[in-house]
Amino acid sequence: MKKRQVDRFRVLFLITAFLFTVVIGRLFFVQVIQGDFWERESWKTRTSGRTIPFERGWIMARDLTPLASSENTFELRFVFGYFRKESSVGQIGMIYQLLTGQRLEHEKIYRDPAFFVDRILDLTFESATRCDSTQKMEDIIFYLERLFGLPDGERLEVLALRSEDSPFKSWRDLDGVRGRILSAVDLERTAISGLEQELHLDSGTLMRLPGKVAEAADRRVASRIRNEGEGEASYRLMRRYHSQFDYYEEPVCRKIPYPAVMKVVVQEELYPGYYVMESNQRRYPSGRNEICPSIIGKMGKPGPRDLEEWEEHRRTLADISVKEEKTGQDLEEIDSLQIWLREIDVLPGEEMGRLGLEAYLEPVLRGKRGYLFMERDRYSRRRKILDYKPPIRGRDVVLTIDAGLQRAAERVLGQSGHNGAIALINPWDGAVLALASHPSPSRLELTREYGRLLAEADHPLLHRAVTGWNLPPPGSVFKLVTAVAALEEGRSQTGVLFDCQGRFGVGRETLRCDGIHPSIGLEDAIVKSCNIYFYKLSRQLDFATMFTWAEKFGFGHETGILDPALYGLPATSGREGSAAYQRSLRAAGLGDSAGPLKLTERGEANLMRFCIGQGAIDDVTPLQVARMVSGLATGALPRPYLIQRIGRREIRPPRPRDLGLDAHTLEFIRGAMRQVVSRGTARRDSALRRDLEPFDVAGKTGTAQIGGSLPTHAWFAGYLPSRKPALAFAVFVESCGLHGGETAAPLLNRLLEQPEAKAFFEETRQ
Amino acid sequence: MKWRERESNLDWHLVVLAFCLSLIGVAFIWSSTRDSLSFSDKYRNQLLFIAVSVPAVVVVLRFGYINIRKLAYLIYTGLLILLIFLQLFGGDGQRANRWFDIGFGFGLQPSEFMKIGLILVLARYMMYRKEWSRWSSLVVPFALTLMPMMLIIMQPDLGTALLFPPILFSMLFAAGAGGKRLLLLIGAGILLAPLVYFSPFLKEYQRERITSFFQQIPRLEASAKSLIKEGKIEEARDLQRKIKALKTGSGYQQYFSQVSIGSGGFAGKGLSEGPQNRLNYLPERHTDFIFAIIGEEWGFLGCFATLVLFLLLVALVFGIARRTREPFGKLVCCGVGVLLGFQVFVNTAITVGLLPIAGMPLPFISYGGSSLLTSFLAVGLVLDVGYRRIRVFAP
Repeated sequence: MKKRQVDRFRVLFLITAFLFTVVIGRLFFVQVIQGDFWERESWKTRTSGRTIPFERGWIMARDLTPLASSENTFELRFVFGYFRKESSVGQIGMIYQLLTGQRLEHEKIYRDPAFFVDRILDLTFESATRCDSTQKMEDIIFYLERLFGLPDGERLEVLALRSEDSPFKSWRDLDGVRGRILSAVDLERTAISGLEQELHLDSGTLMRLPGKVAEAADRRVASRIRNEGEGEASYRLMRRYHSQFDYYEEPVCRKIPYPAVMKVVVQEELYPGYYVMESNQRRYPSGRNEICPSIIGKMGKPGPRDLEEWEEHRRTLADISVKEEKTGQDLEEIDSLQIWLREIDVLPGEEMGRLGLEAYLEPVLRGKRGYLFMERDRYSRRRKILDYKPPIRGRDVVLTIDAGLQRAAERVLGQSGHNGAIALINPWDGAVLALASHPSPSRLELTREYGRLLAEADHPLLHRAVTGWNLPPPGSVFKLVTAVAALEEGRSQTGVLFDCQGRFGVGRETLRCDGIHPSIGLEDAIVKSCNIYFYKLSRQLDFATMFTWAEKFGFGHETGILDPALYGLPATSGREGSAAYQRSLRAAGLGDSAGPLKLTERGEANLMRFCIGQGAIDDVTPLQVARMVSGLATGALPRPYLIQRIGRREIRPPRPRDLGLDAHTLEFIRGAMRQVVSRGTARRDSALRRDLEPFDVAGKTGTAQIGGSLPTHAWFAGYLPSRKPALAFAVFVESCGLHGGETAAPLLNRLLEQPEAKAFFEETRQ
Repeated sequence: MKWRERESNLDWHLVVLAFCLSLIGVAFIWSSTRDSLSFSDKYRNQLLFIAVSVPAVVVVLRFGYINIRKLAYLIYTGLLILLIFLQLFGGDGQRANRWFDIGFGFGLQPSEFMKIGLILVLARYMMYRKEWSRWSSLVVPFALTLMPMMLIIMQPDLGTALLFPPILFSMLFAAGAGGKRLLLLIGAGILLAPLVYFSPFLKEYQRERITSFFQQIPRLEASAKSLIKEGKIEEARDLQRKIKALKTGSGYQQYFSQVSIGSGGFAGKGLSEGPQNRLNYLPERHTDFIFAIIGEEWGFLGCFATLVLFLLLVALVFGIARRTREPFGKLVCCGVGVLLGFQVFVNTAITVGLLPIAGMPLPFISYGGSSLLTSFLAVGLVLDVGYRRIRVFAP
């Protein structure tokens, strides 16, 4: 008996011990073997992250006048995934779509809610019991419950599924459901149209928005999967893809006023799907202060090419995420893709430079997005910040542009009534002080009417100071180079006289001069711009010499004003379609496209034309011409540059290339240029009481013929003050049919009379 | 008898174990209610309950279990009347009526004390019985067990009620009833379990908990799919409804319980450092699911250590039972050992997802005065038995 009793307690203890061992075994399985999985589950449920916008770097003029600045604003965004779940209209739309298989424009629901509510109330009961997919059925019930405002799922399920013993014959019999839904829709509509007014949006914009966004999401899903029939599996796959693509944040309004912010933030429930995000908005001087929009360019949504990489990774992520069973490798890849997506350069919804310097300087202006990773409790309250990466501000860029001169140049050019360009540079180092072009788009036109600008016949998007669709020849301005070449090569002396009878035959052609200059010297030939003198001089010269000297003065080559190497920017060349390539295309309006010298046009007549800046030298930009006169002003050819500082880095332009000119030659040419103004071709408009004399300008006029009966272009290039040059200029007036002295020189005169120009010279004198 | 003599003969190991476990309990109650505004004084309450339990144990020791033996039927009947009273007048019909309000925001849970009442009454009835060969001899013990069990199921408190059959069977077993016969009965009980499932005693939510456990979500979804392939849309829809209830209802608790435990890993995240705990993802985590928090914050090591402590406790109780010759004391010890062991097993098994959810506190550790007091009283009885063994029956 005793032995038996002892046995019995041992048995009881062993049973207990066995049960405990089972628990411990399970604990080992869950905690040690499956530990990583559960840790991941825990992590997923409790954390959420969001990005923080960065501030884009400013673009400033030489004197730090902002040409493009940034401002922190509040942005209104819309997320369809939340809208379809939380808004009554979204729910109606989803139910309708699930039941009928057609997407419903949400606008229609806003306009006539009663019709659709009735349809759903009548449809649901029948269709819900004839549904081909249990998941779809679940979804319908989910949206119905939300729409009907039933607190717990059970009630509706009982109603839905036990139809035979339910007292309800239709959803309509539910107490006050119809009225409740209608008033909910009404409330939403009122709130939304109130928001529209607050934001000055066109009436109905916000009502159409959900439909637009849903369509985009549909397209994305459709690009991933073909809808193969109706089956359960196909529906589920579709649904999972939708949950991947429905949560795009669609920017609605870039900048919303504070009352609207308060509305949306405080009365969240009235604006389902909408939320307010801190954002960064580009600002430009506007109205009277508007300055060089064509140089600065504009911002815009990233194009499909920019988002290619993003789209690709997003799709990969979606494809992995929708897998039912994920391997460890999949999970790792999801992690790395998510980090990658948050670090990626451009996200949809963000803005990026799309034109001009904004595009060209994208890599430096763009900062880095910040990231906030938070722990949230069961009620989604923020509890702890796990990871915070502050946004990094983009680098500021200081241009060499002088805001005053630039504005004055734009104004003068705009008032002249001619198309043309003005390039002003510092002759000593090549710093570009002003680049004006006309016609030039205003900021408003750039943002609103870009398409029209593109189509316009006189190409307002091309900056004529640096590029153009049909570049002009330099015309008589080039005579200065010819003169220098002849003197430096020892082919002629200043004292050599030629006879000009107004016309000159060479072969079968007859070349002409503007006037009759009997026995004229080199100086007078420059001052009076005698063509025949240079034709005759050309006999002493040859093509090789002329090409050498043209190239020495920077013709035939691009000025390289936007050469990335000059500013230490990443190269713009690259695979077609790459970000760098895109950038170079977008800055093309500023890219200089000076044509090469035409080495093929040989022959005596062509050499003669070459010597007066026609023929072989056919495509030059005002900036090139300004650089050429800078060379004459200082004796060394500078390299023009536009950007003075990027962030804290000063840009050091290359030292001007010494032309190695004889002092006598230089003195002679400068003297001649001075006399062009005091007694020569640039003085012709004295009748208009305009006189460049007091400004101490040295220059050379030019009239470029472009063949046939087409009107001529006018040039005036030079520097001032003549004794101590502070500014080299090239004024170009397109197709005016007049002489350089008649249009281009007076334009410079008006420019110099502007108060800004006076201020500039005040400053340089000190 | 002098108190000093008793004191020196107490099984101090048992005392130390009980206090260790209840201090672990206080620590985790502090950890799991630390952040919550309304709950932040729970661990102080628990300390108060310990402070109340200690004199209660001393009273038991002074009174002597031999005297308690005389009162066994009285205690049992009293508690039964309380349960009936609770069934008739308690609660508002909405939530489970398990508590008597005794003021100051505290409630008394008679079903907890009934565990001891049952052990006492069964021990009292069986103590001198040697003849178990007839089926009829089992009628009275079964009747004594089933009466309170039904009342408690009707409260409804399935978890507590489920403790009663193991107590009954193990005490019958210890008292010398035929092992085969008991196995037969247990087998019959298991076969009858489906009947209980469909009986009116079970509330709907309890049924769902049980289904939710036995029908794991992935398996359910797979079978729903196959049903659709076969064209049985109606059945598939029924299944789908169950899946949903699973995900949102009882499934939530079990899922997050496993998340908490699993994310603790081998070494845990440190006391009060567990995110699932801090961020309030697991409901009931200071009472029935406190083991999940131990799992998250102390990891596998902590869980293992806690279970070893419990096993030691049970071993000590069974040890005392084995060495005792006085039959009442022997049976009481047996009942207490099984009560504690089984309760720990069921609670932890629920938490790690081995059993469907049923409300059952972890002895000494879970928050709750009634539960703690019951555990201490049970251990007090065993201590007294242990002492008397030496005093009265020493050779």
